Amino acid sequence: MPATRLWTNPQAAGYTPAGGALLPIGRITNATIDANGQRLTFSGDGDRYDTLNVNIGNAPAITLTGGDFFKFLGLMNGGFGTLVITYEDAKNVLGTGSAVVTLINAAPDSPSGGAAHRQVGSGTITFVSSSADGITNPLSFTLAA
Amino acid sequence: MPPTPVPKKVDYHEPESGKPSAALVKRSIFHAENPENLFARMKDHLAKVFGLEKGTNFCYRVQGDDLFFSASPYDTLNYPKDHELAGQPRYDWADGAKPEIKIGTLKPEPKPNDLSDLPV
Repeated sequence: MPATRLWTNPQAAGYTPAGGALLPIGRITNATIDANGQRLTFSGDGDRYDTLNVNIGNAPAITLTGGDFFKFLGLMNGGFGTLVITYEDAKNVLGTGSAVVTLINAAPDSPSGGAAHRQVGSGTITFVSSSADGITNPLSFTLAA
Repeated sequence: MPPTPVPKKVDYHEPESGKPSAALVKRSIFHAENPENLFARMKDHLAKVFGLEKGTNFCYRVQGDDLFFSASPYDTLNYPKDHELAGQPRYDWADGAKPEIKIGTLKPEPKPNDLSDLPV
């Protein structure tokens, strides 16, 4: 069946700290990718609109939301590693069209979470990243054929 | 209760210097009605150019107007900042099968502090 170009159920998330072993991260309810473009704008004199609006850099990041927030809190180590997430194709599940997203030099940042009365707890964690050479995007994708 | 899904271990292809192992492809050629077919064909084309099995998966990254294809997410366009050749390209780039495609061949890894050819 051809790929639907629709994705669902982020799963099989895993974080491998540099020099460490793969840590599976389950109970994920949402995984959001953000290219975090940074822009410079300028306007002056009587300008009503910006006369300069340029992208000067990016800081790719991935934010996970999930039920196992104690696992997120356990990642407050200040280190870095590789984060991998798989998104299911809406019809083919992990077959054709499923996408694997990899963020290298990923550093867990500001995990938070908790639980309320008569509700299942939830937490979030954002993985920020850096580039080894300053020009190669640390965020990469692989699509299953 | 179903077990927590565990990510598959990914064995990355280690590129050899002197052999094509990366590509820069203009994003504009994927602006078609059915980009999946083009993407699958691109992967098969690159596997052939790189001398790998058909169906080999490649990572791609968005690099401005280009997509940077290589086998490993750890590949970089330039030498890393802590390398003695920091800022210089790791690949020699040559024209591909179409004007929108550049094929990259990894340069030989320089030997750090190699003094073997120093006259004594």
